[in-house]
Amino acid sequence: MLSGMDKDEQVEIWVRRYSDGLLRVCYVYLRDVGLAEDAVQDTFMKAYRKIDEQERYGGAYEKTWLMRIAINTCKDYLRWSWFRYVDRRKEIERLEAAADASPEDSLITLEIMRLPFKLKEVIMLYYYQEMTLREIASALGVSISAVAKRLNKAKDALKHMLSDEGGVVE
Amino acid sequence: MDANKNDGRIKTAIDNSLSYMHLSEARIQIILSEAKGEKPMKRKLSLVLVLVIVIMLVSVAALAAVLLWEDKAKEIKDIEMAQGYYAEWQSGDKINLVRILVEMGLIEKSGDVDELLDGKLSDKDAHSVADTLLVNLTGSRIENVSLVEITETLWGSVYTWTEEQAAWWQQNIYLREFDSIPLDREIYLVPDETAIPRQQAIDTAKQALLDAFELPGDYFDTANVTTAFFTTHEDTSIHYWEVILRIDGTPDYPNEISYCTLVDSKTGEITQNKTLGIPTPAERVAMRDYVPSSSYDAFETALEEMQDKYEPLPVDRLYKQFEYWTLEDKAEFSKNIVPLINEAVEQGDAEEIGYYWLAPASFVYGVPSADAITQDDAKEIADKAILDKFGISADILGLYQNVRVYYDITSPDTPLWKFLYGTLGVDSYDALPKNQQPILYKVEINAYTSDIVACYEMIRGTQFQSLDTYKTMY
Repeated sequence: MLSGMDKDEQVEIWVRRYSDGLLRVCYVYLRDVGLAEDAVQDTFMKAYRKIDEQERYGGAYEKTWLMRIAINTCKDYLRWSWFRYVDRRKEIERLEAAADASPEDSLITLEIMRLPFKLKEVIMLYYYQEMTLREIASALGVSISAVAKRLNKAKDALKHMLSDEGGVVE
Repeated sequence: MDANKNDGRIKTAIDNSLSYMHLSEARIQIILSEAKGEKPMKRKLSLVLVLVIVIMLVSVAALAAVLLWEDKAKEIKDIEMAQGYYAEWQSGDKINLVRILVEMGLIEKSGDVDELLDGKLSDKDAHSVADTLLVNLTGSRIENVSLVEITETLWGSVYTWTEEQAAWWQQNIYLREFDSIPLDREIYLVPDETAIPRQQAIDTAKQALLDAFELPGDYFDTANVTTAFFTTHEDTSIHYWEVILRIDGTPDYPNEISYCTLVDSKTGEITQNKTLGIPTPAERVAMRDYVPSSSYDAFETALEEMQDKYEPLPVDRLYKQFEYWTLEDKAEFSKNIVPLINEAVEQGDAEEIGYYWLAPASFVYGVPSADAITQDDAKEIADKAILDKFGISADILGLYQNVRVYYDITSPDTPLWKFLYGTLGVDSYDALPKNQQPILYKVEINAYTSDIVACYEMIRGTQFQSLDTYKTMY
């Protein structure tokens, strides 16, 4: 078992350590808190079942590994016809934001959520999850150059609202 | 852009905006319970539990409970439509819901429950007790408790619903809220006597996938199988079995891999549906192995250069879309990009290019000459044409703020001003009367004579079914 821990202990550590971050990433994909919670739950259950593989995969990269499972879980949710059928996603404009978030924070978050899927995911993983290009490439199953290209495109798409002074361009 | 500064800003913005979002302790306990192999407390039903429910369904008592739920679900949907999700309900409605759930055996009777149902609690306490019961039942945060969530505690996850449950839900709940099933969505049915058996559809899908992907014969032996049965608006005489096979991933790809396949329920043959975006297994392999031509690359590069000219417009969110390019850029599209599209099509890239670009590529766009009436004058004529022909009020037409404009010189002697009227954002859409919401207007005007060449209404979504119908968008 990992580092002498049993699987239950390991999962509990993961849940306590990564659940909020995974939840927010899943939320950006799915636009529904309930579905995002489902996705996180599924992520940890898949991780639990494959915990031994994770050790072979390289235990040091557990965050990348979990993120990869979470992202693919979200993509599955989006792909399944059932999701189309009982679509609980909200219009982007109607998403909740924390009461103490500034209008600029909310606008930046909404703009990120409006990005095309491939650009949104690299922004989330690079800036929010602070993963390296190599880690993102591994999580998404694409080349590092593809990640770099997508990141540049995403930056271009966002630069209209992020000025050098850090303000929002109207 | 100062990369470091903006790196921090993005993280801070997301953190601040989503700071309220934590995995609830109840959900954490569910995960840990499931991980430890214990019976899940609520919400996500294990496969064993789903099987137990299916077996239960044959018992008279359980069948009565299901029928009761189907009856009550409609009432609950009506309350949701009037008041929103459960969290926003009045205490009386919450108490009635708890009463139903107690009758169905989903909530156990207790002292608190009795006091709640007997009306002995203050309004505040009634909310509190009912909310706790529903959170415990669904395992969800209170703001997410909804009819779907509650139904899932009875039927299992929507992904595991039977064909009968799916059809019932769509006909009785979905259509209660929406006027119609969207044109690009499945119409769920209960399999009739003309349909091949479910297992035959599964076996057919498996074999087609094994052949197309050249997989070992036992590849799907341990697959997780889900099915759906539906037709579509395109051709209601075709009924589909949708078979989704999911298999465990590998160390390199730790997620399940999903294979979605359609089987014609009458002929038993593998089929596809472009509207739903579901190809045959053979087409899927071809897509996997497809390499775009150099002409396609040239088209994509030219397109990106053109799009880069456009700054995003955060107010109306019309980001880089062709429909909102200037007349000059649309003319440049016809002159410089369409030839690349045509070359790419000749080399087999039509599918990759898609209707979105093939449709405007079938017209020649230009800019108005001095002989042509102005865009403003043409728009005024178009407005009047709609008002006269369809008898809607100017106020209603005023809600159609998203007017896409084209100057079509495909026939140089009779250039056309073309206007497509739609709404802009959810607010103006919601402001339209319900019977008006599905409607778009299209008007075409001879730019030299001001004659109205065409004036018609369209139903949203119908344009996407074929290239010919897609062209009506341009």
